[in-house]
Amino acid sequence: MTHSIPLGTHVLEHKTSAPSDLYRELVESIKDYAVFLLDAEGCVVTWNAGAQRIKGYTADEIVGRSFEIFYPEEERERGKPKRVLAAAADTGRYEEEGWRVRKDGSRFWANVVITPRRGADGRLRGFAKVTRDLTHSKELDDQRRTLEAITEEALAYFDIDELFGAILGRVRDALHADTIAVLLLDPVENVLVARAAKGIEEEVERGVRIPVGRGFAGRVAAEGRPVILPDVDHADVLNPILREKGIRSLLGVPLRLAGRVTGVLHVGSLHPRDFSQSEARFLQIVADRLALAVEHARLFEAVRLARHEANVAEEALRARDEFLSVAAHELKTPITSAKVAAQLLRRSFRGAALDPLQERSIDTIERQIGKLSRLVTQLLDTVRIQSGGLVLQVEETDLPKLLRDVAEEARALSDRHTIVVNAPEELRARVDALRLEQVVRNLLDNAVKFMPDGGQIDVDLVRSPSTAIITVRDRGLGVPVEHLPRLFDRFYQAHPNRSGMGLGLYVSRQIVDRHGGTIYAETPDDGGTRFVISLPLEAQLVALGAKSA
Amino acid sequence: MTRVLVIDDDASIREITQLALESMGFDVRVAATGLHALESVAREPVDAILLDVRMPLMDGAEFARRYRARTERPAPIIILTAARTAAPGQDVFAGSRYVEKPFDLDDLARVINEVVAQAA
Repeated sequence: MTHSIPLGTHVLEHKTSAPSDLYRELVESIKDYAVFLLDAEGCVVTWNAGAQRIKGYTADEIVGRSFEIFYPEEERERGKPKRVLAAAADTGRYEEEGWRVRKDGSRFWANVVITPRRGADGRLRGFAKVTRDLTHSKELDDQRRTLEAITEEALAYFDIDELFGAILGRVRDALHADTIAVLLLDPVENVLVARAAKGIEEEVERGVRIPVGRGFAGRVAAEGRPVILPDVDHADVLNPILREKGIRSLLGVPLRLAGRVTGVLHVGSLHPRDFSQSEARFLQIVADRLALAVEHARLFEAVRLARHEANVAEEALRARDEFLSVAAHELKTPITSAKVAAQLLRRSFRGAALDPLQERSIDTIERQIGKLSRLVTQLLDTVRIQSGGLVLQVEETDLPKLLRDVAEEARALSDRHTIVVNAPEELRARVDALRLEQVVRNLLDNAVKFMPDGGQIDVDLVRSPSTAIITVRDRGLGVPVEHLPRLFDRFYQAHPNRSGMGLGLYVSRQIVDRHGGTIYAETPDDGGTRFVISLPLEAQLVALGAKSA
Repeated sequence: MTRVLVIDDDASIREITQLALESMGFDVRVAATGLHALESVAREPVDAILLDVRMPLMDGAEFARRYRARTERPAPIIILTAARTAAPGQDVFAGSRYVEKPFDLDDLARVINEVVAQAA
């Protein structure tokens, strides 16, 4: 085994001495290091097994030729080999790491040590050269650094395109590839969309879309594992850009997130190349981190968008409430003038007998102004509830009287409806009387509205130990059960074709809530609707924030 | 005769309120702005002031501050407002009576008589 690479015996000077023979055998057998001698001009004198393994030349091919052939062409042109020998001769030892060229033209990363050999007279006789192939460890080192960089970048960027811009070039260089591209999966159409590329920017510029399962990237996505294509001529590569670019070999890996394929990352080489399994593993690790980073950026974007939308929505709400407030105030001014004018008109007739037409007209004007006024108040209340400005003014109130007064008012509005109040002689409570009137009036308005053919409306008041319970029962259209849960929502209307703004019950519930009471609706078996209000006799004022409504 | 100053930037409200209150036996002055109102009360003191809160240029609160600052015995101010309560921060109206728009004439007359009687 030690003689598999015979040395050219004619170049050895002390071949008969025993120690030298031993030494020569030792050197010849070394496989991990290229160990050889050069003459003073740099021509190869001896060769060993390691030299043949690393550089690819047999002894016959290389002995006698200049060592310059081991250097890349550009370094030869710059005269580097000669400078290296001169440096070794001057300093007694020269060491460096750098690219060297194999017989087949491929490069490897070498550690080189050159030592001068001098005769007894001190004259330079030649050099000893030891070369190690560090390509593998350099690649591992590069890959480790690239992975570290990607991990850092992945955390640093919230923008996918910036992230790709920052790391794709590094990944390509780490693999000594010529092209790199990322395609992200559009899960709706199940196609891969080119998102970023280096060396084949056309992929992105032309908006390449590759269906999963077709072409190279499609195959990688479909198989969900690395695919190595040593020669594109022997594969059905669909994407014409890859051919146009002259890509000969490809390595592709899926972007995976929680077991799902979310895209494809591939690198290409312009000369035929067999990507290794370890390169595939490296690219897969890169792809997995990229998949996480993409998801990271996507979530960040989603959050940012949601925040933005929430702000816009909030701003729109504020603008609407501001508008409603201004509009309501503006409307109140003409209503006020009209109401005073109507009252003034009635006063002017005082003592005189009005004919039915006059009476009916003034009555209609007053009633409609009252209705208009209540609608505007509702609008204003709604805005006030939203901004937390609905404040109760609690005073001792005679509840039976309050109910009878409101009922009386409502009776004046319709002669087709009978309103029956059933209340004890006396029941006093501390409430905001005007607000409570507003609630009951609103329930009676609704009852009248939903009993177009007339009928009886019952208003009951009973006392349980510490609460007053007011019920308003109509025999109207009734509220479909599915509407009950939302009946008190803002702008909600159980009967869309009926008139109204969908604010009355909303405002009513807010008022009752602020008293510390409850209001709900139920549909009795024999038809119609019953509203039930429970009010603490001593209002437990509830401070409701602006957002609670 | 009880003299009342009505301050409101809306001409229609000024006119009809003046007519109504006069028909009920009040002596009525009107002003369209806080500045005019200050001039008016400087010329001729009144027994009560009906004040609109929302006015351009000088709002009701600003008028009330200036009026009280420059008047030895300021007349009671009744706030005419579309809202039932003053906006937060309007301490200048603490203790003032409010009449909500649109108001009932009898209610308004009653409140005027009450505050004038109280001030006397």
